[in-house]
Amino acid sequence: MPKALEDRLKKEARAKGLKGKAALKYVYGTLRSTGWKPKREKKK
Amino acid sequence: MKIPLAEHFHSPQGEGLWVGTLMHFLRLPGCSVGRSVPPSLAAPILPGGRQAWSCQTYDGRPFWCDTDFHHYLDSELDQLIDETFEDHLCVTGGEPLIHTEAIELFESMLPPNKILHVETSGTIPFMFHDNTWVTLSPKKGCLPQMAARANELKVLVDSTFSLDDVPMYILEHPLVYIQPVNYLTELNKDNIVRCLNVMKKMPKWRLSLQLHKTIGVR
Repeated sequence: MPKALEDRLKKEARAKGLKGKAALKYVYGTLRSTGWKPKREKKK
Repeated sequence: MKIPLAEHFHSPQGEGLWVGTLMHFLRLPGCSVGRSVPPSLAAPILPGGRQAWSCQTYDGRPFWCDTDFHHYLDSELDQLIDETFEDHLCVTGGEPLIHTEAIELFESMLPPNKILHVETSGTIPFMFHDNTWVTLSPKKGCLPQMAARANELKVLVDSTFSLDDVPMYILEHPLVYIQPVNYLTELNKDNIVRCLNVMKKMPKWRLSLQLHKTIGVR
């Protein structure tokens, strides 16, 4: 997944007034919706 | 030059002013508006086997999104443009504006005899070329300036729709389509009746029926 998209989403989250966990959820959720998967999944 | 792509196909436009016009649809991956839901909520299953995402209209009404945008292929832009034998290329999603660089490339590289259409939720600011046809279906967080730039608005109607909750940027727009929230592959007749009732109060608004679901194409 291009780093550029992640950076743009972070900027977008700031523009929407999202901070902290809400901003991370926005970035991570949108990235996952593109089919991207992290190299390491969180242990359940 | 490569762009991110979930899928592409050739089909008649099923919604809005250009209904019935053959277009080359390019679905870009990902969406910044909808979200996945836990399996316990029993979301409908999309034709590809994936659970539908929950989305929200401009006033927070939830509905099931009927598209699968969870694929990511790097595709050659030139090849996609060469394959566009139609006069219209429609970039859709998901939310295609999370890939702004791809939209900029389409605007600069599409031959002048073809029309670029972009279907967006209006939640991400973007300066479109004057020639780009923008269809905006306002979702939660829609920006009024994006609605003002849109050539047409597409408002979803279901049992919880209320005219009292319609914001000014929709009421003031010159071309508004209302569309029933349909099932994944067929029309919802109850919501069509609701649309017709809304039109009695807003006679300038037009009905959009998702032709592709009526005739069974993409």
